[in-house]
Amino acid sequence: MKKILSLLLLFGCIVLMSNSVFAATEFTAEVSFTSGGEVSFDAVLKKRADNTSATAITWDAGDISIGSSSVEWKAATVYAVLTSTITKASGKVYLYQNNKSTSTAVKYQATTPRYETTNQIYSGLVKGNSGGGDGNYAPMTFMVSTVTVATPDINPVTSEYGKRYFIDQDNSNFVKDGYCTVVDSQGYINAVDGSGNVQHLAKQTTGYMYFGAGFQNIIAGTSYGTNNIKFEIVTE
Amino acid sequence: MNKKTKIILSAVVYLFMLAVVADNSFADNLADKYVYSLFNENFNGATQEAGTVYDNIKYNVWNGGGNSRPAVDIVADSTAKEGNKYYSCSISSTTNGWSGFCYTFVTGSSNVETRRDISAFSTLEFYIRPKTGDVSNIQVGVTDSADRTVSLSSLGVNNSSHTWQKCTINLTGLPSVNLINIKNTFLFITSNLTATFDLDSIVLKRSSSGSFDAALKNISDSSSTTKITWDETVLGSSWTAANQYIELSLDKFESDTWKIKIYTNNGSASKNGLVAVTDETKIIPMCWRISKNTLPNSDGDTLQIAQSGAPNYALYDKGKSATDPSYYPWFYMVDFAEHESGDYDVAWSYKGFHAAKDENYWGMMDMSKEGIYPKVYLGADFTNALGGLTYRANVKLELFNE
Repeated sequence: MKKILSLLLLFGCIVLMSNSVFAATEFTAEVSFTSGGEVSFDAVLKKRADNTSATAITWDAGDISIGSSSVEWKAATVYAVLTSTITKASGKVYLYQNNKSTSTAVKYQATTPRYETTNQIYSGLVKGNSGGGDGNYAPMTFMVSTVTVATPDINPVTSEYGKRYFIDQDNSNFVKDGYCTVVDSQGYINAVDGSGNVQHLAKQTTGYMYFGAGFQNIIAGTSYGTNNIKFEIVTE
Repeated sequence: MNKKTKIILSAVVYLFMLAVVADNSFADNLADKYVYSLFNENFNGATQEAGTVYDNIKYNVWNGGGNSRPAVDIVADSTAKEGNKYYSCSISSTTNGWSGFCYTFVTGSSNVETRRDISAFSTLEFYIRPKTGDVSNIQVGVTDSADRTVSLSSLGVNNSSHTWQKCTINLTGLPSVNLINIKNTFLFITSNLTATFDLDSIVLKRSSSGSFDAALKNISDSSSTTKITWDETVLGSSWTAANQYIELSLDKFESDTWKIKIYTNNGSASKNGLVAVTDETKIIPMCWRISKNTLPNSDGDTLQIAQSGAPNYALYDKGKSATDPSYYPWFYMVDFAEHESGDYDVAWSYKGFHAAKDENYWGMMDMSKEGIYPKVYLGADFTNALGGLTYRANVKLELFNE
């Protein structure tokens, strides 16, 4: 035992001697950007078919099955070209709905939520003139890409990664956090995990946003819509 | 007076002086330094510039009897023990008669030989690499009223080993020496010997330890300051040099393989730059370069930084070369926590200052007049810096033996 201890001590000394610090000096480097930085954002709608301008997000009715009892996720025929420059730490852009808004046409105004467990949910497409309520919403999704996508897969069930649900400012669990952030100073957000951790796409100025909706039990002659999809630019 | 002294005194008649007049304005390194360089490219002292020696000391070489004068040439190649230069010596002596070389103290511009007190120094150290002949009986030491020497064999030199071998002369142990009254130091004398050998890293050292200092100075006027800074206007800019530089001063020679490393000391390997104070996930890359003199300099070196393309993304001097060169004087900063195993964080070592990546170390013998005080410059890439944030880093310089 004594011999072993001696060997260990000797080894310890060798290690110590082989990397001896004689003197050291430390400085602080610091730079403060108290007033600089820029936050700019723009979104332009375009048709997926020919990239011409569009004024509303639409779906092709012929692509939606009437009476289907299972949810059919369909991509919108329109996408948004996003342009952002965010060089301010606090800068970001939120995306959310305001389906209860009374400032627009009442056809797609939601006055009654649907329920997901105990949460009151107002987001998605609202069945025209229904005022909302269970069975009268088509949940909406979006995804952001750094390149254009000819056939976007917006199904959040079979291909969850990168697909995000729209949320409404009147949802009972609504918080302005990563779940409703589209882009921040680190770039466009691709996904948010269950803990709220965001994953960014490669940082670039332009992003492409695709939309989807889950249709179920659709009756011929009805329409679905939303009055108020809002990009909120946060500068401070 | 012994025979050896007699011969040397007579040889003064034939003295061949390589030295020119010493520069009075030069610092009195002999009095100030703990490590006094006689031939060392990293320490101040009687450092040489093309055969010229400063600091009130001159270099002498002579031949005794009918022998040839020893050839003592400065050679630069990668085999140097220290820096990248060494003395290549050739002695051809077929008869008795003391030939040799030494450093002789003089009085300022008068160039008159004088006596100096070197009693503060405890050892005379150097490296020798025997090549041909038998160097065992070569005598090395100092001169006060007489020569006080010891043989290389007594210093443990193995003549059959053609590798660098360290010699340490205990000055107080030289027979009958009076160190307050020294005329010649590093006296190197031979008789009736034909041999070739190399010498390097010749220094006087005190018994007490000296110091390693790093002083932060403003580039604008070289005034002292306490923090490394950039102007707020650099937000969004690519690689930009800081407003300050760090001047290094080394007067401590504890190991022959000493190194001075530079790194951030921010606590984790990923924090190898300026870290946002309120969000430590946001980090601005930093870089550094070291120069033997202030930048920009007359060699065309500037503080403009550019990054080459894939696959190396190396950092170069954009002011010196508008396009991607093969010379990369800027190094990416690493953090202490990365435990860099190579030399990427080595700013200065016994091989010289780290002039560019890929083992480009340069000695600083040419800085004899100005003094050897290399400067470290810092830079950072603010392309992704964000307004509203303060970024901070702890930049550490460390002298150590690896």
